Amino acid sequence: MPSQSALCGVVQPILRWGMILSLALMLFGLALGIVAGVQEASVVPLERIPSQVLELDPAAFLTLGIVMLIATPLARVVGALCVFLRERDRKFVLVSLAVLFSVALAVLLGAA
Amino acid sequence: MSYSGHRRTMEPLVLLLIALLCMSAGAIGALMGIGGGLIIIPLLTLGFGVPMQEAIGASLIGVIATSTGAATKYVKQGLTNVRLALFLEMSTTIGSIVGALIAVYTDQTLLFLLFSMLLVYAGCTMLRRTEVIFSPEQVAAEGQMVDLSCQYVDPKNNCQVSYGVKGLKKGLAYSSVAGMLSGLLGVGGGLIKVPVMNVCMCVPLKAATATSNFMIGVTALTGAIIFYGHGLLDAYLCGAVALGTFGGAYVGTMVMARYSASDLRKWFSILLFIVAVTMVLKAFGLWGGA
Repeated sequence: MPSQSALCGVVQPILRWGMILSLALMLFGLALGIVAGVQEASVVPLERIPSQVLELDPAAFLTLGIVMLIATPLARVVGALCVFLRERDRKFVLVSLAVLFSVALAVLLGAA
Repeated sequence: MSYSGHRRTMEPLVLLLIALLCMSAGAIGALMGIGGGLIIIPLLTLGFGVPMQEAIGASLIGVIATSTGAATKYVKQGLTNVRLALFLEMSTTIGSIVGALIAVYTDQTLLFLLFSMLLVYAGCTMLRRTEVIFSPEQVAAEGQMVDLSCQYVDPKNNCQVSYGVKGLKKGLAYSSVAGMLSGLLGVGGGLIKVPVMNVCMCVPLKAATATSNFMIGVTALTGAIIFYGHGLLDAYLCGAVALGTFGGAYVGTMVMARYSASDLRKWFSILLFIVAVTMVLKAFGLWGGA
């Protein structure tokens, strides 16, 4: 088990902070929405999030939380890749790249 | 099912109720290594009249929340085998792409029936056989493609468990089938992966469920990105589902710490039988739509 602790040391904080940030953003968005009396909105497109967050739009906070949540599993694959690169674990560098590649392929095919 | 384009306003109390009910999905997901879409989708469509597409989108977000919420605990405890997860994710992701591509050309009814038979078979195997664990040294002596051995401390009795992972080729092949099924039917990744890891690859059950739970985050990721890109996610609904499943996942990790692997194994088999029945119902259009 060469790098179990190193891996956990990188992956665990990514998951933890991803969870905390997205939870906080979503709770804030829901609270804002309930105060404002709005409980219906589609997600906000990525490019409009910053301006709508500044306008205190509840849907923008919720969307930012959702984006953080979606980004967390991706970030932990990238985090693991960094650990394998540092340890020169060639097999697992390839494995993590293959995972990232197939996720990208799935998104491209699905979006088409 | 077509999306009606008509949005209902969700009352705060309804959102709270959805969050509370989604806790069960998060808890079962964290405990059994499954996504919980199986619970969230029928709950939203049948219980709250949410259109199918929105329900699938919210369930994808719920699955990621379950995976992330439980994994923060399981990775720390060493229950999640990160290398094994990445190794199998290669084939599940490719499998799910293939599954989604051929879904258009296949008969869903037949697939649901075949899937339910597979679940019953997996359930019987798990009930009949007892868990066999090999030490990392034993497995290394046999020579494997890569070393996936791992160790964890069982939170129930504080025993340290070190195990080696066998049958990597078999595992890759079966998990591509698991991925394909989830691409074809939208469900079933975890239900197949846990028995495959536990029975074919000799991974202890708790590690197998934690690892499967971890992998599901990546599986749901692609769907979630596509749904987000098309603006098909309802921000409030997703928020409520995510908060509920996060909470539920936390409860699930606490329950996992209290019970032995053999108890969990029995529960998992029962879950497989229940899902098999719902899949038969689904095949005949009596459950939640698809």
